[in-house]
Amino acid sequence: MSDLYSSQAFGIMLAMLFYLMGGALYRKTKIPLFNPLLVATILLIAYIRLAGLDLNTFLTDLSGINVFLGPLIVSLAIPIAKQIDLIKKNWAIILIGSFVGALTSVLSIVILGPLFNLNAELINSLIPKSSTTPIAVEISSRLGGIRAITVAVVVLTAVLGAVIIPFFLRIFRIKDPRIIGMGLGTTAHAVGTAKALEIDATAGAISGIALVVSGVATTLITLLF
Amino acid sequence: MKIIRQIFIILLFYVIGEAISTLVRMIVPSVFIPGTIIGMVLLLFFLVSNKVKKESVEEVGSFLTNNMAFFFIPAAVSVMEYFGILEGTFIKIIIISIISLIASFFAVALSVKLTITIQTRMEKKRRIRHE
Repeated sequence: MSDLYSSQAFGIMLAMLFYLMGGALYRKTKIPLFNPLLVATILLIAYIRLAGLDLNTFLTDLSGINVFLGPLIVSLAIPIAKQIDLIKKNWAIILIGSFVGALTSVLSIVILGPLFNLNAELINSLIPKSSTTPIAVEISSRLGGIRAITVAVVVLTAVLGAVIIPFFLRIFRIKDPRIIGMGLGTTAHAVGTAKALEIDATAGAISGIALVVSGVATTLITLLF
Repeated sequence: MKIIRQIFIILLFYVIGEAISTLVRMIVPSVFIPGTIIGMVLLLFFLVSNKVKKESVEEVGSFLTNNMAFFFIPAAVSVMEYFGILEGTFIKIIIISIISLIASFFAVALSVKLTITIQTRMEKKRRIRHE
């Protein structure tokens, strides 16, 4: 019996089940807090704690999932290639917005981190926080940050962004789909893009492009470190 | 066969990207461009110039990018190990994230608005000259 529930198949199945539950909750409620990754992570941590499992054994069971991380970033080219006409029309906005967003995000962490007495390891984990997760994890590892903390902060930032930014859009009566898309895509990447899609189709498409371009921009900016 | 072919093409671009990244680092040790980013840019170039057809990577690629968050479950769960570090800093991290988020959002919104304004003005001038 214990062979069954400590197997790779069981671990991955459980991860999928919790992820699907999170997805169903989000579709029903549209509350960004019910982010599938966030829900799955919290439920899995609770499961590991309650069942008294060893974290490293459990992670080894899940390690098959990691094979897809590299090909995933490469595949980001596909949604971008589909939007090539939109990019040709808005290239200046996309380039300027992405670089300004990436630079502001990186600089704000470099300035605020020491002010809040965070150590170098934590600051390095936070620097790529507004990039999309696969790119953020790579930057974090290269800078000497902690992967797990980066993933947690990236998801948290995205969820916070998808909650806070629509609020600003309303207060400042921002209606231009280009500004909405760039604003959500550069700061709250995939979760922001889901929100942008709910607001407007063009905003969603722009946000999807912005999340990749700002990820590349963050990579280039952090090369200087 | 179709899916295997798609996975193969995506893996091929990934491996080529990693190879170029390693090569660059061997020549100039201080420059590290992630192989994944190089692979992505290469695939984009091949897709846009139609040297690789969208259909030959579409299903696997969309499966990966549409379900991106799922693949980060292992990394996110391992945050458990760092609960000790996070205990004293979690609130600080949240505050920093919110400030940084708001600052970035307004920087992006203003720079995009400014770009749009300049573009419309240039467009107008061009039209007047034509008339």
